[in-house]
Amino acid sequence: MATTKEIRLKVNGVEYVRSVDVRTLLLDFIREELHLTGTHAGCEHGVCGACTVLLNGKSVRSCLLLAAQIDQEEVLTVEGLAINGQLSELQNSFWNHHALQCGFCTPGFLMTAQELINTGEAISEEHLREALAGNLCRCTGYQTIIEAVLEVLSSQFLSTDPESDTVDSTGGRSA
Amino acid sequence: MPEFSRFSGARIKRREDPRLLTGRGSFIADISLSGMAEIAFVRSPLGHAKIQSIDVREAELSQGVLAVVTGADLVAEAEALEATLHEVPGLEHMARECKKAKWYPLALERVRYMGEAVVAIVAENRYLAEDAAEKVMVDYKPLPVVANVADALGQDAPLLHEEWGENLILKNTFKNGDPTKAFEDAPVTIKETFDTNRCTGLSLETRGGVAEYDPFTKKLKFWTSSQIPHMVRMILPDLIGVPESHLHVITPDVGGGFGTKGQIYPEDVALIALAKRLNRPVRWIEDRFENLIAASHAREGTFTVEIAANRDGEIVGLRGELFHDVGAYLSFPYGVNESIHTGMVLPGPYRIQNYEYTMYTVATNKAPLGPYRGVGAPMATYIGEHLVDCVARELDLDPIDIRLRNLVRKEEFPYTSVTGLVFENGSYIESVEKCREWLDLDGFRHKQKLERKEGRYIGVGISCYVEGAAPGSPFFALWNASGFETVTVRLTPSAKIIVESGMACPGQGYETTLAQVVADELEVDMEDVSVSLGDTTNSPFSWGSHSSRFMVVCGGACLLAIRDVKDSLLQVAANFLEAEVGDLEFRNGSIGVVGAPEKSVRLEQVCRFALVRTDLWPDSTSPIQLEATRTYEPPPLSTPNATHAVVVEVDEETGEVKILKYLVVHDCGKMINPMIVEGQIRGGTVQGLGNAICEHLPYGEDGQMKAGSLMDYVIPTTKTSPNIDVVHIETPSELALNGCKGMGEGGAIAGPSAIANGVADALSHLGVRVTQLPITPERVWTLIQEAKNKGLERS
Repeated sequence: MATTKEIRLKVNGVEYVRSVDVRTLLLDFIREELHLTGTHAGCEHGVCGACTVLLNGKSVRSCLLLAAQIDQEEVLTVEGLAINGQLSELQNSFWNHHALQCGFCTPGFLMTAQELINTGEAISEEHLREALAGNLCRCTGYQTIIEAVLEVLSSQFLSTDPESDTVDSTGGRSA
Repeated sequence: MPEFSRFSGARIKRREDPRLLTGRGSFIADISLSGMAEIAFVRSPLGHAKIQSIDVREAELSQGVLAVVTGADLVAEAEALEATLHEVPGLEHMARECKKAKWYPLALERVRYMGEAVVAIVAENRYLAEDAAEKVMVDYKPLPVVANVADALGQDAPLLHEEWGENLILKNTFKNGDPTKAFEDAPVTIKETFDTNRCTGLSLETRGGVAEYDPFTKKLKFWTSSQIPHMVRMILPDLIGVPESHLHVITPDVGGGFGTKGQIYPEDVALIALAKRLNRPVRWIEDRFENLIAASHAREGTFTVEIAANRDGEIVGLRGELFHDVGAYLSFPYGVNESIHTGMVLPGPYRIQNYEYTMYTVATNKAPLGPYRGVGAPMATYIGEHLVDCVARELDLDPIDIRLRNLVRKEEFPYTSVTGLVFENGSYIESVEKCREWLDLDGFRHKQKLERKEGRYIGVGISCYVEGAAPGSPFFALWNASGFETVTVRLTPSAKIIVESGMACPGQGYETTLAQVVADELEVDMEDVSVSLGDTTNSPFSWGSHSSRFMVVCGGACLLAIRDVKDSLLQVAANFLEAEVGDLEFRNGSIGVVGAPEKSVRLEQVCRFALVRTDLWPDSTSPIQLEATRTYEPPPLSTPNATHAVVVEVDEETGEVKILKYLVVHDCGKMINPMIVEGQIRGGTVQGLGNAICEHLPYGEDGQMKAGSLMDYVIPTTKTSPNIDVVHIETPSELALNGCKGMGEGGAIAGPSAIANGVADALSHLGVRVTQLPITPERVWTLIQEAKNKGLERS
């Protein structure tokens, strides 16, 4: 049985062709092979969500997939969210709302929330709390994470209004 | 010129966040060195066993393996950790009586808890290391397991450490006033036995380290996910026989700590010993299973406590027998910390003067207990506050009134507690009053009655606490440690400010808040201030991030240092402006002559004049330095206070507890960044919620720890965590240099008690007391059934 497999994938818009050990987790491939260390290993058994990435736009646990399962597919990691050195609306909202403390779980939350935002649908706080329940955070108590994501979802919902650009609702000054 | 707008007190966005939001943080697993090998530990599957033999032959032949190392292999190269107490005047007996145990980097001959490291595998990568770990054959001879405190103290109990002759690590008694008489005379006495659950800090980032040894310079570099880099440098070198100057400790971004990373572990010793032995950089990243079975646990104990009160609700006495189940070894360096703290803070913020307790710290075949957010206070507050509610119920008082009757009053500050803690000042009464308003207690009682008739059980939980935070050096002396901090501030020729501290930051925004403090003092932009943390070679000695001490102690040292630098700047500017130092002021990036707006000089010019153009000085041979290192010893104790109020609903059918609303009225003195303060309050409270209703590390009678994954050790999620309203009261400390009080642990301290009290209140018609944590649905359901079976139901 072959122990390596050649895979072809796009990560954050960049094409890679790599030969991988068939047992290598997608998580370890992203971190150790591609050196994209923003995707974190929090439990390696699919519960904490710190390793969440988007695979063809859908959130997946990169600790529960093998790199060898990925072929001709597109992966988005946290490194792909900011474009041209500009934080995305979601990242900015996390910053404004103090939605992170140690920051270890943050990439996973961002990716799960980004998937929701991409659907373009308005959702209630209750629905959002359900949707994010698969990501664990030990620092924040979640309230500010919920506030941060809700703000982006509501601004997007109102995006026909030209005045609806994200407002720094905390009144915070940038440090 | 526009007025300088101060940063302190404002909700400044954190400068740490952009890197963390974009995946550019540098956590321990992100450190990768060329030629780096990885370590996997083989750990004991048994709670108590003799190691008869270890066969490593097959593992050594496994692909990619560089070394398979046993305890016997390492014993000549690395000594064991051994926590000891220092003979502090008045507490000499504790130091003398407290048992000592050698906690080897890899177990020698015997394992005493499930998860104790036995063999280290070093291989080319972690996959190969784990392959080899499976091939190590350890022949264990099981020994009888000491599964709990009662077994440990029973006659003929098996011993964990034969040389002790018993399993009791430390017994300590305390007595003040005349509790015996107080209890004899009191019309109301209530006695209960409480069991508190084994919890763990569970930072989302597990433990880990990277060690590199240079055989030519004989120097070691150690990256570690730790809260205490300088203490790591102080302790480890001796154990592996290198001078302290040869160990360089670096803490990168730390992915949460909560006390669990404020300790030194056997794995740390093993890591640096292996790097030295192999001449290769090594990395160990703990997996979650290891984290649950081998990183420090906390909070487990059995406490029989009795409270005495007068008919008007005045509490007149408190006494208890406190048993702490601390596991197989003393964690380093703060073994027995939790047991000492619990009894000390059990009387809470109340005017109780008749108090006695006996504390027993007991060894069992479980992972060692160490400090975790709140250290003893969560249990003490849960027990004390529950008993206060029991008294209130007995006397038909509401939970607010009984607290108002017993809390320390404003005119009594500074108040010396029965155990000698000095409560400086605070808002004990006001914080409770605010909770009463928020709850609309009378309205709530009416609603509660109506809903009960409909079969819906809602209840109110109140919890008050005063915290012993940011202690000074005398407090730490018992643990061979101190409580000061030292900070260096340097100015560059272009007037940029560099602040250096040896603190590590596990997520509380230290870079931001120190920059706020410094920018305010110099009236400069925060952008001009850079803060460097957690690297032992470019920072003065530091005791690290724990005990809610950062802003009080490190912030204080920073203020002293920056003020020294300001004096130097004024001296230079006086020269430049041909004015007297006393006539000068800092204003918005400049130094100017008071009352003469046109006479000023930019800080950049001052710094350049001082550091570069010394030729322009009257005496160019004695330049002025624009750097200062200052040490700050804080007041003996910082005493922030708060009251938590919660409304819960208990589902009679399922036993599920739902949080309907939650308020924290909080007073930590002056706040540098209220946004960060609120983050700490909310995060701590949700940890308290987890400790209260779902978190538990259960051990079987056989010594097996049964919560080996995050499916078993359940922490709160977005679905189970409430929104938490926060109200600030600011009673500044007059003792601390900056007016701040330590904060960060209070949420975890009061959370469990507020929720337990809420559950008991929701079920008050059944006479239920909540004497065991966690309050799982099963437990609540059982409480309801038991109460109903006893026919205790009242109208």
